[in-house]
Amino acid sequence: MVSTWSILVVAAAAIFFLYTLPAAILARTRMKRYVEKAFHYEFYIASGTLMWVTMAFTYMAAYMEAWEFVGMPAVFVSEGFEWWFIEMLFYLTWVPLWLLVSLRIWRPSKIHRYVTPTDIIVHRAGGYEAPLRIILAIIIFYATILYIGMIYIPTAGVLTAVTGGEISYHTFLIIITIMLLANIFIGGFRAVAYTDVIAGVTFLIAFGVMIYFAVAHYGGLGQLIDTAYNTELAKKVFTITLPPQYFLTMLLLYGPSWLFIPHLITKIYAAKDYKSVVLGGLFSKIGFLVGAFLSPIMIASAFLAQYGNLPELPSATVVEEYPARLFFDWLGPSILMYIIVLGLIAISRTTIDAMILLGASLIDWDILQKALKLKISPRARGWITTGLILLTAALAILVALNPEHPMVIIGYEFTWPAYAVIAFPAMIALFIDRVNKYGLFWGYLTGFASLILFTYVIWPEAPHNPFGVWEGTLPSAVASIVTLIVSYLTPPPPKEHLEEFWGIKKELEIIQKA
Amino acid sequence: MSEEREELEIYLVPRKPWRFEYYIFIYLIALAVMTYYFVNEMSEIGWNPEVRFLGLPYQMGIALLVGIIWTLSAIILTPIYLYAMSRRIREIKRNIRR
Repeated sequence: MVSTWSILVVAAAAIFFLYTLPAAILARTRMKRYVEKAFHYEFYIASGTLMWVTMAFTYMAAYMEAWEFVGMPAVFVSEGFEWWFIEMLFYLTWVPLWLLVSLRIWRPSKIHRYVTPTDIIVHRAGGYEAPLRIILAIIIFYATILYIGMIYIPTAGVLTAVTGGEISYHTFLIIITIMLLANIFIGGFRAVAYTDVIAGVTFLIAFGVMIYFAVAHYGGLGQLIDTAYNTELAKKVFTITLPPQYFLTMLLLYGPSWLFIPHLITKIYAAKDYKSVVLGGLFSKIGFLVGAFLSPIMIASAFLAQYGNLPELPSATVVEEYPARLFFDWLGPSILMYIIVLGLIAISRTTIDAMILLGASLIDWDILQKALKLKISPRARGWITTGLILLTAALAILVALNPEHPMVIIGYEFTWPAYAVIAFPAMIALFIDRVNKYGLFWGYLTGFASLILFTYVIWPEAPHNPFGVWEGTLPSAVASIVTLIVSYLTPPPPKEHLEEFWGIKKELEIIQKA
Repeated sequence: MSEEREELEIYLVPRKPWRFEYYIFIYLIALAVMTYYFVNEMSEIGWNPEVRFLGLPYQMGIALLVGIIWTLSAIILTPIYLYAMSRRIREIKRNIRR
């Protein structure tokens, strides 16, 4: 027999969907202005028209998501403090380098109206378009499916925990997927971004409630952390087992690789002006501060303080249930808990929806439209896009069906290394004119080959190298070094190509006019 | 926003790094040294409630320091970029009007 509270939790998903519906409908209304002119540019990128407020929330959403907000506290407790700490370290390099790179991505994206992260890479390469698009699209798609699956795990897990396990993990997987697919189908990326504004506000209210209770319960942040630190479990949690070189490579390689992370690239494309990029970036950092720093440090501490002296942790389908369980044990089925539930639903959809769109766009735009150059009627185009979105969501559900490992470990082992292999040659090409199509082609080919070989064949055990460095270090080094060596051994890219890529002619016209 | 202003904003994003952006790399080297030092310290100290940093148990204190550093770098760099871009656009616009 399912309790009234559990039914109310399921109803909260419907309530959340209903009060965010006006944002999606507004997006659909605005979408009509642009969609006829350029369907894919509108559906996947909102035609690059998002103002800074929307950008701020959509960037905040990238970090105020289930992966960070409930995943990180769970990992802190189940795997150890160090796995959360390395996430903090990467931000040390990401923050100061963000604007240096993102503005240089935004400029060509506005000139050439890019749809996918692959667009900017193949355009800069200036050759081998079809094979490069196919290789990049497949690798980004695979890594993105794993990533979405990883976020599904805490999303469904946390809601199951709120119902005390009465509504199963798999039921919530389906409910959340239906909710966010409906939003995507109503207004594409524009609906996702507009909904992020309402979701962001909902989450911040819920976050306030959670943090107030976590801190007030123990009489202050210092007391909370001290209580947590002096539990039996803390002795294990705060023991450092990873070697220093792992931390160092997380700082110096993993951090910069996030400057070209595919789902953030499409958000850069969506920005209307440079202020949207700069302020969007600032708000993403606020999102990270709330979702990935304050939340894990306080919720994980509260969890340790509450359960850290028990002989064993409460049983859970997935460890990501812990944060919700903590608040449910304190507050029980109450109005405050319901606000937290709404906040958890709000964060559960952020990022997943943008990433489903990214996954679908890679097949739709890069492979079908650009690499295979299929002639598709406008009517069929809509059906294909719908089918690809459903396919992306379904494949990601497969990843989340049997959550054997904490999701964060899967991410560090393959998804982030794959994104790093994509990121470094692309960023090198943005800043070094000498990089050419040969360099990029062979750089990517060897980078992906080495990633697969190192991860699955040569060193199947984490960290997939004998040096104790981050999993993505060797493959991204191979990709970067090959890109540079091959580029310098072969003819430079034509000057006209670089000028066309950066829009130099127009820039000179403007400067000469001045 | 006028079309002219929009174009200015796009094409005046410099394609090569500004001079001040090169200083960021010096800052990153300092961060790497800091990380190496503190991680070694954390490994040696292990779980020890007696050793404290910034008023918190050592590991949590270091995490707080890391959070403070990147928060400050975001707060400092955002206005610098807004200023650098708006100054570049303003100068070009003023010259065009003349």
